[in-house]
Amino acid sequence: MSALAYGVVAWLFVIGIYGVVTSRNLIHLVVCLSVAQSATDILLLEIGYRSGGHAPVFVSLPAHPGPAVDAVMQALALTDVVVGAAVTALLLALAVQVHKRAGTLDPDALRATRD
Amino acid sequence: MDLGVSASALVPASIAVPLAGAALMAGFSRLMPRWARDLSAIAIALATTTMTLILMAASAGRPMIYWFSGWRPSAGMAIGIDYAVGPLGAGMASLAGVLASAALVYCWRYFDSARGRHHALVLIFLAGSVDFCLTGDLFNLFVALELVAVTAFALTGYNAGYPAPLQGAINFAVTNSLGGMTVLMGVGFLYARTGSLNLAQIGQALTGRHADGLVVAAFALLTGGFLVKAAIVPFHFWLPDAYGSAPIPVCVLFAGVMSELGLFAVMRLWVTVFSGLAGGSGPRMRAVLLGFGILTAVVGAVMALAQLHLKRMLAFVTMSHLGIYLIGVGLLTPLGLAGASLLVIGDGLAKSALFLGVGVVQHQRASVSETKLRGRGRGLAVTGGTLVLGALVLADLPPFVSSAGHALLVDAADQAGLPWMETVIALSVIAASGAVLRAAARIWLGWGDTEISRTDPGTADDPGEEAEDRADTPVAERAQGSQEPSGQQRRVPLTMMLPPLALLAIGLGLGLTSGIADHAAAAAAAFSDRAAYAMAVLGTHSGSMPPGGRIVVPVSPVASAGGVLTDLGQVLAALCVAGIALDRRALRFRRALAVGTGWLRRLHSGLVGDQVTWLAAGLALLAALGEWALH
Repeated sequence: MSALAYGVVAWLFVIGIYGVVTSRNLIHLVVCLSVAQSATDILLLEIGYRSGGHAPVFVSLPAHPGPAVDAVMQALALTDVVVGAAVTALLLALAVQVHKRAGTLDPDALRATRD
Repeated sequence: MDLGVSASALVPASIAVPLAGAALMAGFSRLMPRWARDLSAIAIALATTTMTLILMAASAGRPMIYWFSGWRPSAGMAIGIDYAVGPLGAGMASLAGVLASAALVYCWRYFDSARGRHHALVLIFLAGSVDFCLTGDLFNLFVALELVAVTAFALTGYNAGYPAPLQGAINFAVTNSLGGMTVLMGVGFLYARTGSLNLAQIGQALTGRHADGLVVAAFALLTGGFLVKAAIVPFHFWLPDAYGSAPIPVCVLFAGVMSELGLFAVMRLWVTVFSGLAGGSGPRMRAVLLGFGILTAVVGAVMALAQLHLKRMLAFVTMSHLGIYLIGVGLLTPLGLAGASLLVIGDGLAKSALFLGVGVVQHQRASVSETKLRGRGRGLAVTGGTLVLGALVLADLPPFVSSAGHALLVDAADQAGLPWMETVIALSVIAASGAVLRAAARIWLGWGDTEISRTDPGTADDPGEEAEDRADTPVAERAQGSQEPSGQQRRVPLTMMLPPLALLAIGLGLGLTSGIADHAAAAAAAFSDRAAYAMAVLGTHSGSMPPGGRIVVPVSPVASAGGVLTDLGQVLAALCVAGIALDRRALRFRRALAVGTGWLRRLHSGLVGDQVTWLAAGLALLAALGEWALH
């Protein structure tokens, strides 16, 4: 379980960065960035995960609730999701502007309009 | 003591006030007349500055700790989230406040209709910067980083109708988001190893332990992420695109504060977390940081000389100076840190004045291309003087405060057994200032060739086109349309003329303050005192802390006298560089230089894919070096 999760984290991060590097479309690029970001979230959740732990809700528990997963890491992941949403929205808005201005979504086209 | 108690309420207020102000700006700006919007934004920024200045004075003896909702540590275990205020962090925060105030005053006439959103973004940026400087919690550090970053992306793309700001904002956002992700991964790794997010607690948990793979990975991810923000080679490629295209008041905030925050975080983490590792080698870590610093200082200076686009030139000047700060903090001694802090203040004020001066030129002449502006400086004499003075201050003209910082830095390098470091620093500083002086001489004195623009290979990296000079203001368009040939076009508004002069005056005033070097050394010593920091944060009650940690590093007067001579030499050399750069006889030499550095300019392609590739390579390099230094 654990090794699989870390493998997924590494794979998502690397493939996300690969996508950003090779992207020829700004929408595609933004989605690749989100893929890399989801690697971060999975990493955080995995760090806080406890096998067999229950959700970190501490009201009306049974007599022997057993271990809970780490709520701190879930809070971090939640914050990261919010940051990711803000960045994605901003980048997509910029992509719309690029399309209005240059008529294309190729990130390299902007460079061409400068010269 | 009394000051300390009453000042502790200011710790959360210095973040809450600009944040609340930003919310009000964003929500109610439509209901306010223009002058009320501008005035209230400036008032909030000034109030924040004042509060952080008081915090700087109040925390001079020992760190001020503030626990959210009073969740103090119990039995040495941090439960809550804290602010740990030291004079160095509070000083950085007040620099952010001063620059934000200057930028907001400048906005008064710079934007034709400064919408409330712009002011709100600037205030959030300020709140994030203050939070970043004061926090004692690793995750809070990440949140502040992202708060500053996201507002900075939005501010860069503020003129989204033009291609250059779009490209700048996209490159900036993509690279810095990736940097933020690596920081968060590093946070996760450190939490996995130590079970804490409190910096002091993490440091305690790692003290005396050997660095395993997880800690080395955390070091590489955290440091790499913050170095992206600090624009250190090879993480720096976004910087010229972002600085070159952001509106001028925003450039002021970027050049003076934002990148320096990255270095601040690197040092904060090294001191509180990583320096306690057993087997971790200070000298090796010093070699790593100094290597990055030297590379950045040199690359930035060379690239600055190659620019004809004034804002991009200043961007590379900024980058070169960031390398010098990294050399200062990378010495890993309090004295080096003190020198770097004074340089950050002095250079930050001067760089901001330069950007504001360039903004006046852009506003009045609708161009930021050095060649297009050749000989068109008439009528802007005050701005010309500002630019020249700013460039000389960057070359450490005494008695400005950057000169004191330079002297401390040189002393620190000597004490560390690296006397040749002075030469590296001097050469970068001379080249960077020479570039700005060359531009000033061309614009105001009309020196240099006229037929330069197409044939000079020095412009390969340089867009330098009128397309780049997007009009921030309708005024610029009007000036362009009517094409008034010369003479009195428009009077420069006082709100644009005075802020750069005020910033330079602050630099001069600080430089003339007696004992400024001692204050900086004491602040740096307090910052570097790992044990005192941990004790102040984790001690059961902060009231009974012994007032230790106030080490005054002596600065020998002989070194100071020599330092003044060196500084004057640097200033003269920068003037010479400017002269050579414009002299017809040195054309062949310049050609050779331009051909020799062509590969470097081609690396700055402005393509986001290339930038991310460099970022990934830099992270891998940093991981390898971290393994070597920590393991």
